[in-house]
Amino acid sequence: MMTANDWWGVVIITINFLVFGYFVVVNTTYLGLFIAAFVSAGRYVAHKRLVDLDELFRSPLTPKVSVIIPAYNESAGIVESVRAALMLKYPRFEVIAVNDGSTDLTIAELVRGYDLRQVTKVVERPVPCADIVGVYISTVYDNLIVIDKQHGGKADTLNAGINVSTGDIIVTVDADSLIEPDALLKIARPFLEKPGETVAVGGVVRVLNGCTVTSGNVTEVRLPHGFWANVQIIEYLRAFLGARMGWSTMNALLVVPGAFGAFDRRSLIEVGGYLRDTVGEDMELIMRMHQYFRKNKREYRIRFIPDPVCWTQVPVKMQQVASQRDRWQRGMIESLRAHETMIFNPTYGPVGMLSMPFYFFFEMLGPVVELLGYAVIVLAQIFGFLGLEFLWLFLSVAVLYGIIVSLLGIALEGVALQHFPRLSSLAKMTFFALLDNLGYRQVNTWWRTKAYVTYYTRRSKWGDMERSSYQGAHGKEPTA
Amino acid sequence: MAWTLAHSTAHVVEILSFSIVVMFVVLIAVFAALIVMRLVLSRREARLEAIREKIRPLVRDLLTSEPDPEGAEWKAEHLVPRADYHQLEQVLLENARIVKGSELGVLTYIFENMGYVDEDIRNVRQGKDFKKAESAFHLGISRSERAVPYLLAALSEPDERVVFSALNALAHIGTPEAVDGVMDFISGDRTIQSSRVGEVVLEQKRAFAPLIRGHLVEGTLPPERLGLLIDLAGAIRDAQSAPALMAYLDSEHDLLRSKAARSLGLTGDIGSCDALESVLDDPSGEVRAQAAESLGQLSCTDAISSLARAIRDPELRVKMSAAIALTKLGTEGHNALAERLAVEEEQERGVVAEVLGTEDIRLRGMPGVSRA
Repeated sequence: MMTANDWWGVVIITINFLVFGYFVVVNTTYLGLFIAAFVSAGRYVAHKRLVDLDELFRSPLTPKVSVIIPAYNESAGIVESVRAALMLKYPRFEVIAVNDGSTDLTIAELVRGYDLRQVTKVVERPVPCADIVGVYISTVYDNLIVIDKQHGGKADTLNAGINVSTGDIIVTVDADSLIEPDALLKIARPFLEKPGETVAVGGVVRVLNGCTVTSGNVTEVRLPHGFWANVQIIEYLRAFLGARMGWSTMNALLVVPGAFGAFDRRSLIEVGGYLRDTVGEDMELIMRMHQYFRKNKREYRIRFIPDPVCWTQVPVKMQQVASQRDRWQRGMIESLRAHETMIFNPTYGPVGMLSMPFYFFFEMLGPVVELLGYAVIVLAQIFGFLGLEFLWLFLSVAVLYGIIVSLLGIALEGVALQHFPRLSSLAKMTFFALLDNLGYRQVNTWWRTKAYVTYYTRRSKWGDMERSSYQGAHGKEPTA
Repeated sequence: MAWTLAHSTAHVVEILSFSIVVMFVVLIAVFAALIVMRLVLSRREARLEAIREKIRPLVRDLLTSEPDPEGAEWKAEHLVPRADYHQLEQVLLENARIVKGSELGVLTYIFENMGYVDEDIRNVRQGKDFKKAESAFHLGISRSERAVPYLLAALSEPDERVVFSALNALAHIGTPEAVDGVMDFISGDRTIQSSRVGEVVLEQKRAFAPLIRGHLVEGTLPPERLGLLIDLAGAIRDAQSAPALMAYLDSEHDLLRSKAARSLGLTGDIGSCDALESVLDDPSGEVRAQAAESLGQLSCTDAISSLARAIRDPELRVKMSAAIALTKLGTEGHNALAERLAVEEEQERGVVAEVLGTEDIRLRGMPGVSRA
């Protein structure tokens, strides 16, 4: 006859093993994705040697690109951000900066910076957006359009940009981000190689903090000072570089980052543009694209390529990081719930059978399971249900395995892509890979779990983040 | 009971612990190997770059001071140590991408006589797929006519990278045989990357133009191939293809009609004005918009009244194209456009105001222009 204490023991041991299994699966999946990413990166780097970007630049058949920069209270850096976009190397492109009813001086800075004049503009609305209150063009740059609209959130702002755009390819860039001068040529290439089939391409987003920026270009790549920015570098390498490249090899990518993504305009309009009532608009859009094209049995491809780099400022204060992670988690919950019929649905191929279930069970529910795991392992130790061997085993899988996966992210960066030229940077990143899994991950898990609460109380809020100019981002004035 | 359960799991825990330790050791070793590899590779690359840095001025000097290819080849062979010939090839390739005329002729001679072309041909015939593609790419840069038959054979390779590199190389070499080979491929059955073919064809506009015209006149290819050729005729601005393009304005395919309307504008052939004007009534909005745009590009002043009518088109893109076209047709076009400011229809009036307002602001930004 089992006592109540025995029952508790069984429950706790079972939960411990389930959580243990969770960590094994999640980290092994990442490991598998990294192996796929290494193979893919190797092929990509080799393929680059066969491509002459100058020929692409000269070709009159190169499609026109519309670069859309949504801005909400971005007065500190919007002029520089737009300037960097205007300096991009591409034969035919327009830059559309969209002010989402900012309460600061964003529009005034743009008007002053580019000698803007208001014009009448007839705008069709193939995708829904809030009212446009003004359209401006520049007397200095022919290819710059600035839209001033009522506040409607990021998705709504991007939709306004899509409505005004005239390009064949839409590229979205965050106002606090910089893209490398030849990034448009590189991100457009998959559209040229598989025209009609490529519907979206994601570029790699890297951390700008610490780098030296000269005239809107990153001229020296260095690691930033401080804990929060550095652990996010590791997080970006593990989750955004390795995992996305891995999913991309199976055409099962679920996120094309809003900070830097390219879309075939026709396809984007065909699926209805961005969903306005969400904070995870980038993920939701890609899920909807998978759903639409698979359902309609259309050949399509959503790719992630590691080369066209977008540099973005990451938050450096704990509260800002917490707020951003909260928003990302809410976005993921919203997107996955909106498309839950795709999960384990063979109609959607590897998206329905692999990436969606992984995101649902391990990214969406993961924080709750992890938190439960940490709590239960402590209880099991306190009440003596499991020995120290299991504690060691649990920590090995939860922490050590995670560290190894993070290290592989660094290796992918250092060996295959060689974006960090200094070996001292690699050493510093290795140190932060330890902290990423031993401290940051646990705190992040707590924030992401809390997001379930905010999910029901603060939906569709486009969080505020303190912005600084690029000079401020790396803590020193740019070199001449 | 719980205590017993804990003990029964101990064995499982032991096995798992052992497997995990083994796996971790392997993964850490992999990470260490990758980092060491990174170290070795970066040092090697730095050493090779230093060699290339030494060779660059030699090659530059060779190209500016040695017009005789034989003399240049002799110097290259004797001034650079044999062990550094691979780096010499890299520097020669760098230069071959940017020089033209006799300097390029000198480089081609060096590529052919120092064995680089033979090695690349060998790779194209027998190498692995990536090596084949890379060598084909190099043969294109070196412009070696000797490579043409091997590159033509490479067009039937299954690997897309090899095929595109061979196409690119043949277009760069540009002999009649090479151009024919590229054209046969473009008009063949195999799936191709259309926009990249555009890059290839632009290399030898004059050589490709008559072949493209020939296919357009025949019109026997499938619509998607004809669409590509129509695009190419416009891209290379071949005015002589205008009559053939005009015939496609009557095609049953919307896409071919709109592509033809666009390409006619690019060719600069003013004889196309009447034909373009006639398709302002086409059932497809895309065709009407392209025709209006081309009428502006070709400065077809006789089409002013038709364009003014097109501003009343039900589709916004047609209205916009027609309004922009009118701004390119001198005072008469401007006046015709300005008259539409008085109309009642809101969208039409908005389009006219937008185009005139935008033009006014753009002109203000131009140096030496002042407008009220």
